[in-house]
Amino acid sequence: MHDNLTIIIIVTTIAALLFLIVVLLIASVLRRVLNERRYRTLDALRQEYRERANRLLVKDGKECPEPDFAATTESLEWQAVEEVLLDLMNSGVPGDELKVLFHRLGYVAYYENRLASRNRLIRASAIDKLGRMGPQSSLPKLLLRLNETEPEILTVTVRALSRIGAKEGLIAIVERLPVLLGQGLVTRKAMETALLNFGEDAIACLVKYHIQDSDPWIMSCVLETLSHLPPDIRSFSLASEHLGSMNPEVRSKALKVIGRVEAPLPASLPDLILPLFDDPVWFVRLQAVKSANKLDCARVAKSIGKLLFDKNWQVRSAAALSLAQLGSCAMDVFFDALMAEDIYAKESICEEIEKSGFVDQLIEHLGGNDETLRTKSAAILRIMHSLQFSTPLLECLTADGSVRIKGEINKILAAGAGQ
Amino acid sequence: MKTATITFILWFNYFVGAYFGVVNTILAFLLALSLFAILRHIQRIKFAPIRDFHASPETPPVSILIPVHNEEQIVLRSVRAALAGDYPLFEVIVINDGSQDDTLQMLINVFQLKKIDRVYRTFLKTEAVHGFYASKDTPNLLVIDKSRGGKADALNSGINASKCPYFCSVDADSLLEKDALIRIMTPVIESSKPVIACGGVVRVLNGVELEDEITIKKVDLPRNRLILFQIVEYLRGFLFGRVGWDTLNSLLILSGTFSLFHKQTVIEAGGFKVGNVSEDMEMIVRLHRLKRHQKKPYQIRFISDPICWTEAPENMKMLARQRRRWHLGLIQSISQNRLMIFNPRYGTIGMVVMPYYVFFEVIGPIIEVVGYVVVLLSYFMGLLSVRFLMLFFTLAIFYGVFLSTAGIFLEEITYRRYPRWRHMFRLLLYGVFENFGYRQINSFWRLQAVLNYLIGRTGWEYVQNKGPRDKKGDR
Repeated sequence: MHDNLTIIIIVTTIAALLFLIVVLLIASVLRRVLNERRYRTLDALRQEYRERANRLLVKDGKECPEPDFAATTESLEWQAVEEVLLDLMNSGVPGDELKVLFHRLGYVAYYENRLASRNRLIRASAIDKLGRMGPQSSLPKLLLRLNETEPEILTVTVRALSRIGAKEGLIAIVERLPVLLGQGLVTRKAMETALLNFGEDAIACLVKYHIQDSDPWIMSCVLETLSHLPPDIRSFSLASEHLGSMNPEVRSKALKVIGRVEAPLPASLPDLILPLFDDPVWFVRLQAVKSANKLDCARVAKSIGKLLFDKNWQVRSAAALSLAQLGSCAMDVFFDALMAEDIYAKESICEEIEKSGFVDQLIEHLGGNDETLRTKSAAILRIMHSLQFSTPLLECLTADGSVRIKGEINKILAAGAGQ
Repeated sequence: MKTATITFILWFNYFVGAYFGVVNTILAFLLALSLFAILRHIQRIKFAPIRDFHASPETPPVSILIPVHNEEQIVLRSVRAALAGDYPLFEVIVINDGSQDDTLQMLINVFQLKKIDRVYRTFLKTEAVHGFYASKDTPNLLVIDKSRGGKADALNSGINASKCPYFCSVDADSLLEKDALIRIMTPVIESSKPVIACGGVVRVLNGVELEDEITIKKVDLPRNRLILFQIVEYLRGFLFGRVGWDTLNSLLILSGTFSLFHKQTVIEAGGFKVGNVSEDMEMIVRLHRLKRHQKKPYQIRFISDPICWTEAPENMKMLARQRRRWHLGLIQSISQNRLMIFNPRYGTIGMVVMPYYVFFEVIGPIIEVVGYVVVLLSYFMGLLSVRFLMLFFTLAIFYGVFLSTAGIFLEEITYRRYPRWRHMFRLLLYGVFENFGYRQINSFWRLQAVLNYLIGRTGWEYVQNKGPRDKKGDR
């Protein structure tokens, strides 16, 4: 009795497994067959419509020949026409005519209807398509999507609006920034990227927006976006106002905007940047060093020199790199720093001297006629050698080059060996 | 005596039946979870903000760490593929772990590297570092030359030199797809809970046709039967095993071939453990342990769209070595963290996942191999009818076929990297064939690993890759 029951269970399980295997097999095969047929037809249709579009739209420049592209909604022809026209749009065919064509062929109305679907993915797909087709008339319906709470819908909508590029879209996004940014990092990233697509138009809108809101989270996003748009005096003014913000994120982003200012540099620039070298937050100091790269060497070198001993290694590295980029005029600062006792800071400095190529300048000075430069360069190289940063010296000895320089290098290496 | 033996055999048969039932129920459960998770993921990534992350300057920088040891035949390909990645800010750190061949010289020549001095902080203790090599032409490539210390030691050395908050470990015989890095970083950027590690899918490179040495041109199946078995295994393992555990937030294994880690957390955990033959799994277990101790929220994720292609062993000798090493690594990781087993302090990991690995993964091959012997003994002693024996074997085979078919089906409805009809049918066929010999020999190798562990033979078994293939993917 017991054995029979076991056997019945096993046989039933085998039958069930067999059934599942067959179902999976049939599903896989059917899916392939249907997809193959579908894509074969679709490929042929794409080819046909592509040729037709090239002939009528590109070569003849005919105005909206919609009968040549009309198709039943959701049919394969419909899909092929849509893909071909979108491809054309991306390939640089004048977009206005194609936008009208999408309208007349019913695509815009179709996707606008789908915006009301309860399925999130259908809505997202419709928003994406409308964004790519670029109809201004769909803006009111797309703007309503910004009231949704799903991050996926919001990011697709923001992206679609930025593709269409209309000012209403930009204003709507900026006005809803607090809600949109509250949706998390993903929406924030989408926002920053999308706002960049609006180009210089976004600057005025973003700068105007700050008057209405002083939330640091939003302000840092606004400043971050401005820092990637072309330099502009309005962005500079806005950033200058926020250098004293209580929020370090805002101070850091404001510095980033200020660092992008172009010549002629405002006279107030050093006074704006240099005080933040003493900021209590490390990433503000880091940004301050990076933003100081356009300032006059004589004015800034000593201040950057202090940051060579910052407690944060990223700040130390950035300071060393910044000084190395300043070149010979920062040599005294380097020398003083290398005479200090902080071994970590000294190593960072040596690494940056090598990485930035400043070491090549130092070696070059060894063969020059300027006595002061030669002495200072030799002194710095000697310290570098004592810290095991000797590879450029050794390589210089093995390469072809000035005998005088090689002689100086040998002296440095010998001095190091004697230490 | 005879009665005792008979009683033991009878009870063992019942035990094997029950064990088989429990394992397969768990696997079926994981399969169901994976099916929903993968389909949802596939729909989501259609509108995923990957392009936004790519354009955003705030996407965290990543170091790609490639440990190499005597890999002169293949190192250039993996380094080039890593350098060709689409990612805003990343560095590639190749760690030459005491190679005796021309690996280092080849890298120096091809990338025109120069020896540089560099600040090297030993957050993690490693074997001596002899030098650093970099080039102005490829500023995001760094080569570290160090004494031999094993893969874990090499990774630790790479971590010390890394200047990015995240690092991605990649094997020297692997090939990253261009968007693999941005895809594997997506959970890190999207999640509100800190993601401290994330794994992607590893696929078999053998048989794949490459263009310009680093781009996948055409995916084909190789002629080698051993590789075909492994392809079916990989599909099953990655598409439903790991995805299933991921949905339960209970991943214990991420492949060292392609995984992303949060650097600071790995340093806090003490880095990769030198001496373990499977440093990847041990690290994941230790990360769980650390975070549960700290009582901080965290996630360890696996996602199915970032892809890394890797060389699979082409002969039995190498495959045996690889499988023994994997299983030995599993045993080491479990045994070194045995305090977690059935320890409520570690939540699901301690109460469910670790016991699952002990009872069904570590002990599994012992029960399977002993089971074969005992069932045959039962038959010869007249304790088991032929009918019952055949039915039981049929059930086992059908279940194996079902799992393989399910793995291939998941591939079909999702990524479909094997596009031809013959690909699908060959894979299905090998999903059936693997139940006749391949699965059993795998169990035998895993049993060997258990025995090796018991007698203290825990050395790293090196798997040799023969080198680059021709345009059609064959060697």
